[in-house]
Amino acid sequence: MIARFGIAAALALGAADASAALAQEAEGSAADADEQQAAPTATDPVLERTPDEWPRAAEDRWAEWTPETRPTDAVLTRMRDAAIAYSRGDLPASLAQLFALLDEAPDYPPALYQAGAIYFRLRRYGDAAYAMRRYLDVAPARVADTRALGHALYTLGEYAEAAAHYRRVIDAGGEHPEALRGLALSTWRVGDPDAALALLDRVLELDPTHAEAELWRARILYDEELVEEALVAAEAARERDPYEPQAWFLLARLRYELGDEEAAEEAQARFLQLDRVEQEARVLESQLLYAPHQPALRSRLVELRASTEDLPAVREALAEWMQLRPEDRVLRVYALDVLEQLGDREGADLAAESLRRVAEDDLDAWVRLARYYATTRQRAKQVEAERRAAALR
Amino acid sequence: MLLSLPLLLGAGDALFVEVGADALPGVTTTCGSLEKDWILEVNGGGVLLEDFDGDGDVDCVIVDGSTLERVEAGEPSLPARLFLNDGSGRFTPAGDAWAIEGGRWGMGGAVGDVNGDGWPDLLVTHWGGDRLYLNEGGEGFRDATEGSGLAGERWGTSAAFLDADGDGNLDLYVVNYLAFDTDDVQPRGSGCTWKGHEVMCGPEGLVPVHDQFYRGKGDGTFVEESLARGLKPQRAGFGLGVVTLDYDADGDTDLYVSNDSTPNFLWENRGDGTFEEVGFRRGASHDANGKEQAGMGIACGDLDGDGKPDLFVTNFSGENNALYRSSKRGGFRERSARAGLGGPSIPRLGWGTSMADFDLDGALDLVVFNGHVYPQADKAGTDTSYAQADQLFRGTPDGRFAEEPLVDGPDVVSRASAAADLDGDGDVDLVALSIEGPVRVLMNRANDAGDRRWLRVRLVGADGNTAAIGARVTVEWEGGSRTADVRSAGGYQAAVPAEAHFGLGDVAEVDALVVRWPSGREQRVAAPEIDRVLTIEEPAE
Repeated sequence: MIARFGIAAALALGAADASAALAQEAEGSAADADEQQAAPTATDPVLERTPDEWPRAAEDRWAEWTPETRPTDAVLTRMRDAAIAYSRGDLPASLAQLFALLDEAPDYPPALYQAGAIYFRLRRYGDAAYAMRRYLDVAPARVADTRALGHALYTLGEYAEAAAHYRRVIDAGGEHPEALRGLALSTWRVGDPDAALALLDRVLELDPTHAEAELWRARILYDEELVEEALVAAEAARERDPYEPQAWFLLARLRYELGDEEAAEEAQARFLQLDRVEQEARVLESQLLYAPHQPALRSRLVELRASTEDLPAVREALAEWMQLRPEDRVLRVYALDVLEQLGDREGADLAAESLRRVAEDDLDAWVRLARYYATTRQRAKQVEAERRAAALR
Repeated sequence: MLLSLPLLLGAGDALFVEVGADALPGVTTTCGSLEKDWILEVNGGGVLLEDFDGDGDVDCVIVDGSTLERVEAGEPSLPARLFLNDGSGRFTPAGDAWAIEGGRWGMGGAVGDVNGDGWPDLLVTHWGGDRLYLNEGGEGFRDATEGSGLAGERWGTSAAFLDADGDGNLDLYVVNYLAFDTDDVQPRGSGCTWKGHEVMCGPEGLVPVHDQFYRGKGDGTFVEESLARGLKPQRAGFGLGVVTLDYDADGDTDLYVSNDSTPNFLWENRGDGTFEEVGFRRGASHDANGKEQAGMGIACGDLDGDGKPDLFVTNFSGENNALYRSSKRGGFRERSARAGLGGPSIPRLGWGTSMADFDLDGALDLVVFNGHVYPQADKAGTDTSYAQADQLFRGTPDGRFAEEPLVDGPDVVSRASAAADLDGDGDVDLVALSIEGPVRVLMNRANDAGDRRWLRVRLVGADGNTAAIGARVTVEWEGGSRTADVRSAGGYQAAVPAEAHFGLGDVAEVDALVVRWPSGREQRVAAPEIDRVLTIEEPAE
């Protein structure tokens, strides 16, 4: 989930390779099942368009392009505006900028790439794959950038093609855990569990904290009916990410098969609790991708995440909302309230800092900050907040 | 033997050829408006196959729907219609004696001999009151809904007859979908979106309705005993499909129910006709990722010859169709991708499905009928489409399936389907509905040359369950065997003839045929002849 900020940051910096940040979304997205959303939204006209509308550049137009190539000022402005919209979480607005840019500068490689990244986040995987392939058409040397193409192909169920693409990415760019993980899952889907397990082991060598790799190891071992080994892996995955419903699902299934009814029922209950939250959250997140300015949905998302005390997810939901409303003091007070109530001192400190930056002449904001700093015994900041509040009274 | 089929099947030809224009000329169904503004308008009608007139071939009931305008005007739905087979797979409308009145909005149904007279009777499910028709000795139907004990005005979809308690009478399980009323449910345009496009609302956010179990009294009447039999889960599902099976091979009949956007149910029969829901415990409620899918149709059969049935469930686009393989530890494991069934299903939304040895090579195959619920699937960025290709997955010796087009021709918005040998040539044919369009009859060309080995087994039970629904039939030959359960429920809003079908591949002789009757008796028939329909009667005690 933190990955999204990675994408935003990558785009804002104009970097070509945002696909690492997409990786964690790939498998979860595959199971999203095109959920329906039930709340009023206004569909951006750009979402009714498709990337096959993009004009093509003359052959070899971008043959000399490298990431260091300086674009024209007009292109730079469009890219900057697209990146700003993206970083705010307004994907349709960002995509609209890129459509305009690609009309003006057909096949401009970073625009193709970023459009692919946006389509991926919008769960329009066919369009994401199309955009990434166009990017490779004009920048064939940049295959290492395109893990997201592998993710898109995988999500579309094109496992053999996904595996082949991940191999190309690894050959070009070396062993990145997310490319290896994608290759592992694709390899498993086409029927080679042993090779998949070996690849996941390699992911865990490169990143021993990789919860998803451990979870997938457990899944494959379970599928192979190696129940005891699967249980060890599932326990490890649960340790690494205790809010991931799939780990609890697998633990429950394994415990039932091993005849440990009490532990199975406990794991099942936790799975059901987390899964209910995850399902509703996924629907809300999906809706917000298409129409991000919906405070009621954002508030509900925070509330849902808080209900399981999943602090990273609460912070993420709040951070996305605050990025969308960079000057909103009331929202920052709300964030501070939520995180403080959850006992997330680190998150609350970040929210307080965010509020402090925009508080300006808002008396209520300084009063709230003074109270927070007093509670957390941050004396210097408390004094400053009280001073600002006093000056405003 | 058949209609005007093309030349014999050649390399590269689709296994099936569509002959609906000849076989069921001009027969179409209706399900609301073309725009599909309401969820009531998207599921389509039903297909129920059985030999209703007792002439030895398979007849066809098409269950039709309605429109909201008809409902608002107080008019009944378009009636279900029986079409009689002339033995070649060509159907003609049955006479007035077989007329079936419309209800509120027809969906699907079930077929079974509910009064033990040896003739298959008919249940038609509706949004708004299911209806029962008794077969009058192969001469016509009699509406027996009044006084039958069928209760409620729910939205019935699929249904199954089974003898749950072994008393020799058929019981009934009716799958219900959701509470629908135009006053309570919102239409398209109310803010329900999918992939950024406005679509009809539901089932998410609507109220699922509990299924119903009726104990059969053996005389064509029923008593609802859902609660008493334990058949009421904590949370109802948006039910769409049901199949009878004996998943744990303990001799009684269990039930598997596919639910839309809610976990599927596996109802384990405790042996006395009461049930316990064990879907999660046995690995058949969610996909392998722990996601509840949008279950539509169900196919069932013993794919790997381990004596335990495997399950296949069709799902929504963006999800994989789920193959639940029986596991060594009891229960199931969802293993779709490894079987080659996961990836090809992701862009598609599956409905009707059947598992049979369509090419008569000795391995079970699968067919899937596809079509989206949203006409808006043709808009930008959906990764799917409204009309879709139907699929044939041929079973291979390594346990994987090889996908190929089911028929040559344009994509269709398919819904319910049912499989049976319509022309008596030993291979299994198909009847399928499309949401707006003609009823399709797909003739199987596998045995056009008459050189494939096969066996169809029909059973005559000694008690009121005259078609022996729930029996298990095993054919044995030197070096192998294969098992099939007798059922009439399967697919989606569909019924199939209660018989066991075997493709025998290169097996030229069968050593024995073993029947485990629902009564528990076992009967062994030595060296049965093959390439025929074999009828076996249960011996009297």
